[in-house]
Amino acid sequence: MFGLRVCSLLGAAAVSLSLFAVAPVSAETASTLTEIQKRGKFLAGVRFDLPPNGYIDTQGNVSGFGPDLARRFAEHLGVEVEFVQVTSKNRIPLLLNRQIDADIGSTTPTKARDEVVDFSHVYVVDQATIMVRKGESGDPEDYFNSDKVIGGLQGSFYVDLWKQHSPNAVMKEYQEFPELVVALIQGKVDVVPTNKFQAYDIVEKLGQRAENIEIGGEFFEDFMSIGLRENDSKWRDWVNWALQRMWTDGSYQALYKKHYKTEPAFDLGDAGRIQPGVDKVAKENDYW
Amino acid sequence: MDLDWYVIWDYRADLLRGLSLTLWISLVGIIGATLVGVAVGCMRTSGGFIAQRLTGLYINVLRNIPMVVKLFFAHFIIGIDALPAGLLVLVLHQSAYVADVTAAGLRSVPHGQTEAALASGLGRLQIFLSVLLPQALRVMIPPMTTQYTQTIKNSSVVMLIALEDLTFMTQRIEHATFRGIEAASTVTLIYLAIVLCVAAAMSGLQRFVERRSS
Repeated sequence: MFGLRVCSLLGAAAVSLSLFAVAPVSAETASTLTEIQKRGKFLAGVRFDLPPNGYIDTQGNVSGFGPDLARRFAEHLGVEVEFVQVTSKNRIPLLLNRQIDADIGSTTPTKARDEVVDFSHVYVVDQATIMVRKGESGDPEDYFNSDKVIGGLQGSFYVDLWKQHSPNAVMKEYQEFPELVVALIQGKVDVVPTNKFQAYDIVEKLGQRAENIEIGGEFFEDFMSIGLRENDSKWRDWVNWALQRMWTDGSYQALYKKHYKTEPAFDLGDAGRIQPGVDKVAKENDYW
Repeated sequence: MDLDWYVIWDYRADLLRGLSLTLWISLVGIIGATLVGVAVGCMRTSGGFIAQRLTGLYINVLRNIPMVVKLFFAHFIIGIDALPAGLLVLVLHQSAYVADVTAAGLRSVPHGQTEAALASGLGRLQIFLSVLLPQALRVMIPPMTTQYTQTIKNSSVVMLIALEDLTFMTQRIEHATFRGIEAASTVTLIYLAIVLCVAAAMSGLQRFVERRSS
């Protein structure tokens, strides 16, 4: 009887492992740009939980800078757009499994990520800051190499960033932001490093309860890029051209200001320089 | 498919740390749930009217509230530290199921046996220990094995309150290396090995009980 049970358990394990194995990447070589045209749909990975970058508005629509940018891309590609929710944890796997065509969220192009996917030009610049309880120091340097408990989201760039500044930090990694904020309010963690846009959004959402929280100083300039599949230069070129073309005609800055309430504090393109002749549309496969 | 299993070796220290926490939580969960659950199950079948109602309430409340809700309540609302909160919730949650198994096991023994034992002059405790429990145990072991397996799997919920168990470590490896398939496969096999050990131990216990009662 035990032997039978072992056999069925091993069978179940084999099936589970085979399910893991089926998921990703075939030896597909066609460019994502071609795939989008064939399918007639642009699968845009956007945040549903991170205003102003991407969120669900009170009418239930997908809103924010990322989704609006995706809508503009789809317009120029002449296809429909379908939004797929990305989170800190699933964005890279979704991209690798071809479930999204681009991650237009708030992804920092770290070296580890760059080993498996490619990135567009930097398209949003934010500041890394800290959230602390009222009355505590707001200077991030006071917490580097201290015994304070640092709270972060598992998979978030800010956990790694803090460890770079403070290798021996005591970290507590939660799965979702609401738990992390409650942990900060209750004193289970002392400091939460995050980006400034998100910190202000949390304070706004907390309303009166934000009385116990302060946003501290900045300690890093956080560059964000659009995540794209590795070695797909045709698609990456198109995305970079699209960003630059929107920048050149001013629609990019208008969209940025609409959502982030500020002008972009950076120049788009390689070393802040728009590629000469980017506004010239080629005859073939240059959808604009 | 491009798989890199060396990444698992690179993260062996994290995996071992996660494994030891998972084993510790599972062990406490199994022992605690058994002690509490068997006590509640016995009261459910043998206690008076009030005890039966109270134990019924205990089982229904704990079984019907999702474990995550109980965990957040214990940790964020009552304010219990992460590890004690995780252990307490796991014990309470699984004990409700163990209580049900125990009650069902005890009810499976024909009532005539209790009456016969009473007629032969045995006391209540003697009847319970020498007549009811040995017979109920034979029926209880297979569903108990399922409950212990559930306890091990449910222990992974503690990662939601920032405890670094085996599942947490899988995600850490995935985030750091994007080697989710390797990490998930390895951890699946580790969980499977733990579950098989428990199944083997319970199977041994079943054989032992069968031998003694035959």
